[in-house]
Amino acid sequence: MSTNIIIDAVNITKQYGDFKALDGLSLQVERGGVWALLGPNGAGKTTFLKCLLGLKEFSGEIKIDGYDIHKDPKKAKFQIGYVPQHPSLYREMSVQESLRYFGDMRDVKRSRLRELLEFVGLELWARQPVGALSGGMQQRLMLAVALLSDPPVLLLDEPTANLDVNRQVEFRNLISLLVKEGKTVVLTTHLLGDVDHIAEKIMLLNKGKLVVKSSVSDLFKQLDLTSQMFVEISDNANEQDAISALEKAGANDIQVKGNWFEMRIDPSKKISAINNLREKGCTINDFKIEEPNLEDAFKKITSGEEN
Amino acid sequence: MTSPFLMIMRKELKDSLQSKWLITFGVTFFFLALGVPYIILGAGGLLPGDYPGMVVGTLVTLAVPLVPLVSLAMSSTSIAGEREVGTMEYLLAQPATKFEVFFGKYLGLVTALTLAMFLGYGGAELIVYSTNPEFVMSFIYALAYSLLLAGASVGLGFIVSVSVKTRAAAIGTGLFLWFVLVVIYDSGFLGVITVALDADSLLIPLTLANPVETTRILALMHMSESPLRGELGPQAAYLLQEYGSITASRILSGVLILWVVVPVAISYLIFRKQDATI
Repeated sequence: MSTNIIIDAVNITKQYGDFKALDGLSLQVERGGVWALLGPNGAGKTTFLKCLLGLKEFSGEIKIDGYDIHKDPKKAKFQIGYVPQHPSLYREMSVQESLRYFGDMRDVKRSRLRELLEFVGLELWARQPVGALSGGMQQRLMLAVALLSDPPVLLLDEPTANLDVNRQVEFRNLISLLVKEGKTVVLTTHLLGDVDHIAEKIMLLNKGKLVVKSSVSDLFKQLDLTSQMFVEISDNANEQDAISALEKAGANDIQVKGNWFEMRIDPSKKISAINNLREKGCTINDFKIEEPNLEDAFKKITSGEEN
Repeated sequence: MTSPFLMIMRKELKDSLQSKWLITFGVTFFFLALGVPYIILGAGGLLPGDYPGMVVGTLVTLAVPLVPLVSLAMSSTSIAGEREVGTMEYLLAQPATKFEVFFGKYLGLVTALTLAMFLGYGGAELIVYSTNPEFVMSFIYALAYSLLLAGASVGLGFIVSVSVKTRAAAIGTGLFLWFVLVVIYDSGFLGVITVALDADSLLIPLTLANPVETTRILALMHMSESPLRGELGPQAAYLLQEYGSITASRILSGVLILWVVVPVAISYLIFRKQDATI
């Protein structure tokens, strides 16, 4: 199967009593790259991820690389490597035994086990029981298990939530390597830093529905999110001239605090604003820019949904 | 590719054989059934001629409470325990069907119990065979019915296991079920009901409604020469009187087989319809 759509979910509904965790959700994920599945608590992120794996009963249709998770669950699951939020391997098994156990289920050669142990940096812990490993090591071992049969899709549920900062960086680096190999990575996260660092594309869920599916940069454009710019000009500049120069460049909400001018401006018009100030003879002593971030986007979208 | 079913079954078998429940059961069963009385009586030169018959009767008397105890304790935690720690969800995320996971675990557990019972009964059979071969068939019946009882108890334990959320709740419910099936039934429950209602005909349905009672009567009915056959009780006497021994034995065997098949089918149907975590 080699169409460009690797995950195809159509009209997915998952209900718990009266509560609809997923409400007729349809989405397609194109092959390759890191896709972040975002949303507030209860939006349906983890539920959707588990539906992709057939771990939840649902109505609708999900195909993974062309295989229907209801009709052909083994083949569909064979296309997926899964890393849950909490370590879920058998604690009494050794690292090596765990890889062998899950590897045999996927018909993996022994040489692949050694490769993966090296890839996740656990070769020295091969004989240790899983229960004796730190949280970060267990997370890496689960990534190794997920990669056993070299599946085209990786599903990661809050992959960095339980890791310290250094381990988060290590884990993100591993994911970047996998994306370079052509894998499609779908991750849920509530840490927007994760998205800024590794995801190129986002799917935002709210109340069980897909609200946005976009690249991060397109999202900012769609939402008309602006940069926050701060410019310090010299004492001898005329304040009104400076304001009109900035307004000409499209800045708005301009506030003056001493020599500092604070404004909101379209990210593409920052340079024009600086040039206009210079043309008016203003000497620029310093400036700072705060680019729009996902948190702003997230707030804007979800507040719009609430209203 | 190694079948996930075989891998899961092998793991369940290995884990069960290492379980303290099964080790305690195997050793206790072996010594209680054979070792202690045989060694004491043998050492004192007091071994009676009908000792093999006593052994078979003792095995049934011991197996009836012990087999469901260990089977329910182990099976009730089998799925609930894995769900609680997240390994069940992870297992189901692998290329394995719910059928393979469920029956891999079921058969792994039943195989472990079978091995433990072969150990318990096996030592006894050697002695029985070496002293009085005519009791061997009674012994084989006792073993067969104990295995069916183990199958039925594991099925009941699996219904508990797929229905509760935690390991603690599972083992509590499993042991309560054992208490009802073994202790309450055995403490004159049947007699009290039938006498109170003056309805002998209730004896049979009430007996058949309990796999433990069904097994006990069935096994003892096959011990034509056992001195313990006199302990059949009112239910068996009524059955024999109403249907004769062959029909009674067929009815009881059929019901015991249903007790093996129906609970496991019910628990699988529940498991199949459920999310991986409940």
